[in-house]
Amino acid sequence: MLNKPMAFISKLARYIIRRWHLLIFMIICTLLTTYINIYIPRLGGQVIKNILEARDFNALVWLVIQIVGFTGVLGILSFLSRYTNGYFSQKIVYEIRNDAFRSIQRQSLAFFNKTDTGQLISRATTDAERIGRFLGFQFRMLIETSFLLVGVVASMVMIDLELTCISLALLSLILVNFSLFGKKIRPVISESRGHFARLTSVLWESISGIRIVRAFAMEDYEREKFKKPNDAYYRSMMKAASLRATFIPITGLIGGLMIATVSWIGGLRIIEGKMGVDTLYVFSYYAAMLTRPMRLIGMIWTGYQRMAAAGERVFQIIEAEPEVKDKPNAIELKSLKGHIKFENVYFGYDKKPILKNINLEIKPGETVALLGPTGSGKSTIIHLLMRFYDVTSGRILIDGYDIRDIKIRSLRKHIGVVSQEIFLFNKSVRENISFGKPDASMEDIIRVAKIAQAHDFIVKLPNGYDTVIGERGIDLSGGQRQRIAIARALLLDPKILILDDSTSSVDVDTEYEIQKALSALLKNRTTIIITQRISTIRNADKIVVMDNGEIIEEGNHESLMAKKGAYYRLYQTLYEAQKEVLEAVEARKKLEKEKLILTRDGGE
Amino acid sequence: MGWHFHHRHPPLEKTAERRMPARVIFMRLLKYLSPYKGWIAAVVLSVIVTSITDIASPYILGREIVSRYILRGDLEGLKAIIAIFIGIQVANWIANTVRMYGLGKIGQSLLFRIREKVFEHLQELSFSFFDRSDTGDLISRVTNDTDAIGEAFTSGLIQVASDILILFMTVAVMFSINVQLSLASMIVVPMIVAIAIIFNSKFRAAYQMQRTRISNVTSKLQESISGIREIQSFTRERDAMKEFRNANLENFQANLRATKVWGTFFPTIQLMQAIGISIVILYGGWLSLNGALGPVEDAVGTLITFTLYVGMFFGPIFDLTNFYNTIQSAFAAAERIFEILDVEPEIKDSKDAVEIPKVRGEIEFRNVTFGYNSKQPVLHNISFHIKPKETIALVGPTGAGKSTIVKLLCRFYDPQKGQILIDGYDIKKIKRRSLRRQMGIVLQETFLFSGTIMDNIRYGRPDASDEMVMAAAKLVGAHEFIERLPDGYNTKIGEGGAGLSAGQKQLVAFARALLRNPAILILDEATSSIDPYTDLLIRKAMKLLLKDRTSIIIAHRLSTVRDADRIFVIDNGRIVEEGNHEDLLRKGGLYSRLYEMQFKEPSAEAIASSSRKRK
Repeated sequence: MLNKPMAFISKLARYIIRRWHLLIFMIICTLLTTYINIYIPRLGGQVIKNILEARDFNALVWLVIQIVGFTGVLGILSFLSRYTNGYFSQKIVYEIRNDAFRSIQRQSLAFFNKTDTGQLISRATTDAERIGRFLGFQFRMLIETSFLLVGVVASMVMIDLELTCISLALLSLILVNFSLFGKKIRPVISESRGHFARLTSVLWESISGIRIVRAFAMEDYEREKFKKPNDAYYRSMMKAASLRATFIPITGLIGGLMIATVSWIGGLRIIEGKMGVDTLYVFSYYAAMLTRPMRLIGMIWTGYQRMAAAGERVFQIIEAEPEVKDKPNAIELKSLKGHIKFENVYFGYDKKPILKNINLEIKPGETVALLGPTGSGKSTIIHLLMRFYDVTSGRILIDGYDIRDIKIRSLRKHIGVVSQEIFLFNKSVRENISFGKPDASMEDIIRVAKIAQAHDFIVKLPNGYDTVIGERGIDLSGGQRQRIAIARALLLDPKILILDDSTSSVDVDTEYEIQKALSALLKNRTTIIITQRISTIRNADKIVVMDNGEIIEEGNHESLMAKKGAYYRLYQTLYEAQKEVLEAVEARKKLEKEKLILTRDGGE
Repeated sequence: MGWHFHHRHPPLEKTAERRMPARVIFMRLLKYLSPYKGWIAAVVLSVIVTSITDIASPYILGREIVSRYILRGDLEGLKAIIAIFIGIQVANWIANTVRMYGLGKIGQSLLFRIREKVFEHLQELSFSFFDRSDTGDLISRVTNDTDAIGEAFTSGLIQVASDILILFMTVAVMFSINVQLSLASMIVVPMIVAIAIIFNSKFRAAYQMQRTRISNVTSKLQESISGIREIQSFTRERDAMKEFRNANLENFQANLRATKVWGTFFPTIQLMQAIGISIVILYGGWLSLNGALGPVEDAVGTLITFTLYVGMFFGPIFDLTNFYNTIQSAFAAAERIFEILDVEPEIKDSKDAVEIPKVRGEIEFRNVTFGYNSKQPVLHNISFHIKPKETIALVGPTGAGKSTIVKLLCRFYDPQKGQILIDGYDIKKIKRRSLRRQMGIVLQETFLFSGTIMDNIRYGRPDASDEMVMAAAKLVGAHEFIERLPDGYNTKIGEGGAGLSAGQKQLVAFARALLRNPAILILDEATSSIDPYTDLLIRKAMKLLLKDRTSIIIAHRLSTVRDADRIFVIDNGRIVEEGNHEDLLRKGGLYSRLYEMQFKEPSAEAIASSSRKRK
């Protein structure tokens, strides 16, 4: 158990040591502030002595000047120490976050399938912040407290050993009290967080599902559902409140008792003539100074534990090795013909094979349609080609090169992708289209948008090409998103194009537009399409039917239909499902053609 | 209706304009506190005790312990005063414990009751309310806003009361000891006030900035993870890194700024205290040298007491200058909650409403006129009659009033004119729940609750057995895919669970509706893209679902329209044509034109509605 945090500390130490000079500077400042902090109460003692005995106003003025002057110096020093510490800890958070981000970006897709997005985000934000908070607060407190403890206790011992022992005994009760409190309240707090999360999610569901709740007349059921977490949350919050009420005021009591004891014993000494009032004043001042460190020691320890857990999680990300990496001598692909070959490719996690013995050759410029039920391995073929994963055995060749010998970035630069779940960034339409080629000219962007049949609807958007889309922008329909993604891929003018288009549109508009966009896309490049779209399938040079990770049929539409096998049956089903839409689209194409002829006739 | 959403985020600023007077909000909040009168009395009492004991300590330490007993060598007296001092510490401790517990009790109970009340109220509110509101905003009102009230209102008020008490009593005690010295020690007070005001606003600004900057970091991160495929396929890793680094750097700078504010704050307080104490020492020393503070012994004690008091000014003054902000945000939060509670449900059961017996499924609209606001009717004088077990398809352009008809039938809204009858009962005279219990609704956007598939299908009929659930799933053709899920029917869906495709969700919703076996079924057909296999499944399931009950379908699919017993063509809030597919086509009226438009031409609305800004 001890092993782990130590390993983590050595990782964190790398970041700290990089800024050792800041650390040293901070320690020097803290040493000086501790010294001044211990010195100032003595000035107070001298004031008392002066008023009682010397009664010299000029000396009093000099003492006061010293008090203000030293406090001023103390202020400057403590600002320097805090600021240095803040800079130092925040800079480390900044670096850790950048490193985590860089590592996330390098991961292969398998990593993202295994990890939840929320988890990743919270590690890179909250957990990294936790490290910062430790370095910026508890770590500083640790240094300050240890200096202060040593300095103050030494000064106290020099005044009176017995009194020091008694005060420390009482003060240690504060330490015990706080560590007990910390131990008891932590589980309660985390419990209440859980209840609060449940409360929020019940609330969220019953509001976003309100129509269903109403329609099914389940209001009472929902009320009961809400009562549970609300009740539990209240109870855990009350538990925390009563723990606070029990433990926190005790500190004040102990402090008071300590002052009473010191006053009593000190008073006795003074009356016996063994001590001066000024000394008692200085001593009480020191004892009071120690209450804060006593409260903090427990906090420093819990802070450390939390930080260690958080740091562990952050470094897991930073040190995660991407599964797919460039070989040291990987080559740069300058240009490409677009010849693809799968040779005896196997792929699978654990023992479950997802692809079995795939052999497939695609010649430059060919269009291949991948067909088959969900889970048959179509998307995996594409992912392997993109090198989101590496094959388990066998190999994939592009223009004769094994793709594992090519630099990943240079491979992907030649491949354009329109994926199934299209992600658009929260940026303008223009930036989204030029995502793969940020320096593209506006003319080029409009040109590809026109080819992708996206231009017409884009110009109708509130700000045209500058309209912000994505999560916090304008909402686009599925078809519109797809056309933007097509334009985005087109702009790259890739030699190899991959299209994952497994849904077929139920509505005619989308089908119509996409058919038009697709035909433009396929020209002059090697294309692999996952599709259910009959119109696309029929026009493909080659159709590959997959089932259960294997290629079961291969050929063009006519030859496969003649075979009356799997493809034949699949085609019948698809045709039945798409018949209506297809007919409507055909009708519309005809209409369009007639109109075109009409306008042409009218125009010329 | 007075419902606006100026603030999506709980604001900290003064910019949140309040529409309710502070007095009204205050009185309403007080009403929630009335059950806790006992606790409030206890807390007030304990605040008085802690304030008195807090102030007594410096006095006893300086003027009593040091001056009267130690310096004058009175051992017996010292013993007695130490005993009193300990007694005061114990009283202070007990009072503090009571105060903290009482505040927790009052605050948490208040929050509990407000949350419960708001939730119950939300369950009563009409659809028109939810149409107008944003879910995230409602949730934040119930969770964040209630918490803001709790913290600021209960502890804030008590804190202020005790601060004022302490300040006044301190000043009174100081003046009773020595007027001149008291006046001298007050010199620093205006400076403390100025510093408090300046730093309070700096803290708020720095905090605000930190919050927006960290949320930038989070959203950049979120986007780059959700878009990881795009970033990697388009090899834009370096640019993503650059963008992230910028957001991260800005966050770093904001944090550094906050550090600077905090770093200057503490030294400034220390310096102020040192100056205050120095003034007391200098002036007190001078007074003492002139004998104005009595014997030397008394002078020393007085100076110790005064220096301790000067140190006690800062906390209360700082709290007080911040009180306005605290209470302001508490009131703003309270107002946002009261705004919800003040919305009256538009539809309530009338007093003489009856339970409707088993419904046969006869529906009649008699001269129904309705508009979401009374000036613009959406439905004009609609009348129709549906026989039990008939299947009716509603067809018409977007905004024609199709879904309004359905909503009126479910009594989500009441018509302004006319009557709606089910089995001859006016639905206004039926208890709403008894009506809805016999209706099944499948909406276009399928909503499933987090929980197992089993729970979801059972949602409308919690007493259904597992066998019944599976039977329903089998009938609609959902059984197969459910069985293939990792845990079958016990697979968790929704948050943190397995994701279902749109088509699968719809099949689950069908099973859910079928299990209820409603006499009347209302169906809003999906238009979204689903894969052709599921589409075929759904079509088969629908046929089954429609059997043996009255069904009203807002139809988007050609096949549904063709299979309906009757088609109502709705345009501009009126039924313009009625009949089956062939009849209507033959007629060559609006239906045949609509048929052309909807199924054969791109509709202008599709583009317009899809480019609407998201709420």
